[in-house]
Amino acid sequence: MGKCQGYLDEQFIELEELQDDVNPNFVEEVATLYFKDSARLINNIDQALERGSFDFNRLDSYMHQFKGSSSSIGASKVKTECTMFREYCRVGNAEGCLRTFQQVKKEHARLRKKLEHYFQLARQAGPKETARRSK
Amino acid sequence: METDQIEEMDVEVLSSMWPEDVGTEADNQFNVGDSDTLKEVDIAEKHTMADLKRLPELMNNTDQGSSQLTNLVRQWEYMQDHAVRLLREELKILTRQREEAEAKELKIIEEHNFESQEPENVPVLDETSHLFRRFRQKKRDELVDSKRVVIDEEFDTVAYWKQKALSLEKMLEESTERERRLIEKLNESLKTMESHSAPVEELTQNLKRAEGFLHFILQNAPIVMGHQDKDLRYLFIYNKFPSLREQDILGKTDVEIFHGGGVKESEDFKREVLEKGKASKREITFETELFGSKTFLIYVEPVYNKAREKIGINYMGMEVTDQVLKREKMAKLREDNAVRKAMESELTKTIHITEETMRAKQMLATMSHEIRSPLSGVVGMAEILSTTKLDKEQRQLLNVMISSGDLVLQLINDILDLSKVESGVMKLEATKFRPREVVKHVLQTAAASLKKDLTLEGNIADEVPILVVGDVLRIRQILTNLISNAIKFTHQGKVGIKLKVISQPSFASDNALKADAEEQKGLAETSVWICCDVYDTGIGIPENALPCLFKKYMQASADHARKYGGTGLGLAICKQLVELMGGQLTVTSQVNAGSTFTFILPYKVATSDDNSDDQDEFSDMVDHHQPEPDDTTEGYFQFKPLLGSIYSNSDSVTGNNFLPHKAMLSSPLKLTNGAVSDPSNNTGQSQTVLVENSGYMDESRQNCPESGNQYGNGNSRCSSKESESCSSSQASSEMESELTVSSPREEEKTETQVKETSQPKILLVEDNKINIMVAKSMMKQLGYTMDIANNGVEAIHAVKDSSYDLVLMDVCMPVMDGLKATRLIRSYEETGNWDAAIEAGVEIKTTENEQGCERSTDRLPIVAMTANTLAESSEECYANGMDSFISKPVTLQKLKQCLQQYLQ
Repeated sequence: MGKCQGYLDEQFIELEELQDDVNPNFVEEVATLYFKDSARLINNIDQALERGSFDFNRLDSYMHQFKGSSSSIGASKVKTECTMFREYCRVGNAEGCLRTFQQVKKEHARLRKKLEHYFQLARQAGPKETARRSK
Repeated sequence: METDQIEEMDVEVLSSMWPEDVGTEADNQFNVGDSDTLKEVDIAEKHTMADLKRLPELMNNTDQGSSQLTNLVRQWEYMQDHAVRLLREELKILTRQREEAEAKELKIIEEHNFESQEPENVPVLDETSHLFRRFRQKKRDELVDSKRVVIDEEFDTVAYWKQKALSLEKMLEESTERERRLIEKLNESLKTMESHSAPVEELTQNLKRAEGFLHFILQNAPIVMGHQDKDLRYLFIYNKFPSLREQDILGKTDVEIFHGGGVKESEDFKREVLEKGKASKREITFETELFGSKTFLIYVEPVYNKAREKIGINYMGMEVTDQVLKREKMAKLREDNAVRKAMESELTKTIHITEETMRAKQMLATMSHEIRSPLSGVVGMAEILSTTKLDKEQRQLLNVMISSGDLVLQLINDILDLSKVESGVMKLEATKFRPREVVKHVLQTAAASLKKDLTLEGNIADEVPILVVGDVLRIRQILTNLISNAIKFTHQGKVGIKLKVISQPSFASDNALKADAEEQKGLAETSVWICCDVYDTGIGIPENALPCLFKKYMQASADHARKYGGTGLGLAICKQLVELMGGQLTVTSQVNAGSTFTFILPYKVATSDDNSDDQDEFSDMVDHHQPEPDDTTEGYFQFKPLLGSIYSNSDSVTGNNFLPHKAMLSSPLKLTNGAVSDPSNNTGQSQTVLVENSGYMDESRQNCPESGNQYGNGNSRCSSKESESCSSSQASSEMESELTVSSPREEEKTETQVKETSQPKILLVEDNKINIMVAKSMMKQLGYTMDIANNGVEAIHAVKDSSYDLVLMDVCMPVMDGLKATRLIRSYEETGNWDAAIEAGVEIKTTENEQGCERSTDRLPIVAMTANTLAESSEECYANGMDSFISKPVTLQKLKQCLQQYLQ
């Protein structure tokens, strides 16, 4: 169970439950993919924002992806910021976008740190028996 | 030139002030004024009258009068001086002439003495002999000037002297004559001087001149002048109304002369001035029979006599009607301007507020969604927990927990619905449907979860068309909501739906134009207004609670809210939906006797022969429903309470009842608790319900995708039971056999769910790698594998190339979104070809057509995966041909539900 209060939601637990003997590192794999993919998206958005001319449609479509991924791994705080960002995109608030994007990055970095720490601990603890939901 | 109000005068009236065609000739000639100075100016005299007897008195008594006289006198004196000077000069000339004449006479005498020495002349000469020398001298000097006597006769003859004497005598006579004339003239001059000195004539002349100028100046001025005595009786008026005669005005007061608005005011004003002794101005609008509506600017000043006693007033009025009108117009314009500006700013404010509100509502919707996701987790977990072994107390606690969670979920769903309607995101779709079926299904659904001793009935009038066009989803929602509401508040008796056709209601006549336009566009389709009553024999609603019944978060009373639960949003949503569709929702009720909710909606009548394009929708149904062939025309349904139905777990279902199909969307699990938590379900009951459900599920799946959930829930109920194997009662096997009948695939699916022999083919259409990874892993956990397509185009290719049992479709994707892809797949199913997709730019290799034809009869279940934001609404999913949706993030439970629903 992730003990990163508020940073993750029940979706992360969903992922943890998907982890079994066949896929012992599933959560970590997903998280790695997530961080890889989100790094790319952050880079894309960074570049789009640096251009100065705000293409809100493009920003929104990047953020849609980002939000989808974040939602899938249960990164609730990042997701909240993503939602905010999209809201600003919708109303065309460039300043809000910039500000929220800083928040997105901040939350993203924080989550990454926390998860890395968590995975490290998990590896030390070794594969453990997780409570399996009955089907 | 002096001006004086008291002076007598007349001036031509300004035609704009008084009408020209009234008045009498005689009246016009009251006073003839003439002036030397203004002879060339044509002055017509009119409308003046004065009390001449009083005039001198005034002249003598008033300050103005005396100053006028003083001025005139001064002027007269000046002119007299001038005349005297002139006369003096004349006198001087005359005197000199006389002197000359005398001198000449002397000279003649001298000559006479000297030359003729005639005795008769001597005495004169003697007396003046001393002058002779001088004159002679002078005569010599001025010889040329003096008259010479020319004598023709020879000098110094008798004849000569005689002649000379004669001529001299003549000259003397002439001279005498001249002298006499001069004296005469002198006398005459003196006489004229006397006559000139008469002041009255001078004054008259001056006055006439002054008058002339005044006429000249005033002849076109819209001015009325007058003098009134201290009783405000007119002594003088200038420029009176033409039809009034002297006797009509002089000696009378305003009030006696005129009648109508403003007269009294003007008199009061005059009196006020008289009393205060201060001149002042006022604008008074007269409204008289005589000259209609005219505004005068009136100046009134008091008049004093020499003893400083008030003796009357002078007044002067200028007609300013036009100016006042203009001024008022300007003021009105300014006022209008100000009002408009205020309105504008108000409007901007309103727009601003509206924008804010919209944003707030959207935020609310977003927030609601954000709340819903974790909450569904909570409820879902609780429901899973309820399937484990629990003791009685734990189960009770859990049930409370689940029902509370359900209520919150319901509330959130309602808020989402409401905010969608209010923010205008809610779109209505026009689909063909059969009202009788809808009523029947709603009642069936209600009957399925009915846990009271109630009769449910439906009654549809014969004239209600078989097939109409409307938003069936929303109409179902309204009906379901009203029915569950009715059931909730009814403890015995019946609850029913009655449908009848009515004529166009009055509130809709405003929309008639719009409807006409639509009708013209929509060709032969005719509109019909259907009135739908949802009645019950329940507790009723007190009259004072009726007004707030449809308000948000309001229930008839706080007590009801506690007793019956619910969000208080249901009726508000119904009302908004009905109004959105152009109808009206009303309620009549009697306490303890029941309530009737009536909604009137317009529908288009679809002719049954033009349903060819929707062939599959209905043909399927007819095929599957041989046992109920009169389903389309049947006008009466009844669902009687079944014997011995026992629902111990009523609390937990309260929330479900409220808006069942909506609630199930977000948390489809919840219906399970009814069956699971109460294994002692009566066999007959569950059997019947299931039969009804299974009878209904196929058509509902075709007709109304949303109700597919219902079907899914029915199944999930038994499958969860089976997997749990908590109830090995007869009921479960009974159910199973029933289900087996209705669906032959059921058995093997449920029996061999884990060790799958024929793997169903599932396609996941999703662009997000992480989502794919997670979904794939979950599928694996559930024992399925699936194919992946990264966008709509890939999905179409995949669907074309192989036959799938289920498609999970992301909505928002690059290249082609899920909605469009679904639409194209549906089009293929209907037409058997991919023309629409090719048209949309998808490259299709048309090789294997036979498979396509075969598949086109089957409807591929497509389940949307939405983030359920406002942009990806469930309505839109349905509108584009999707069968259901699961909200993101996808969880194992949701996926499991979905698979169970569609892979059975």
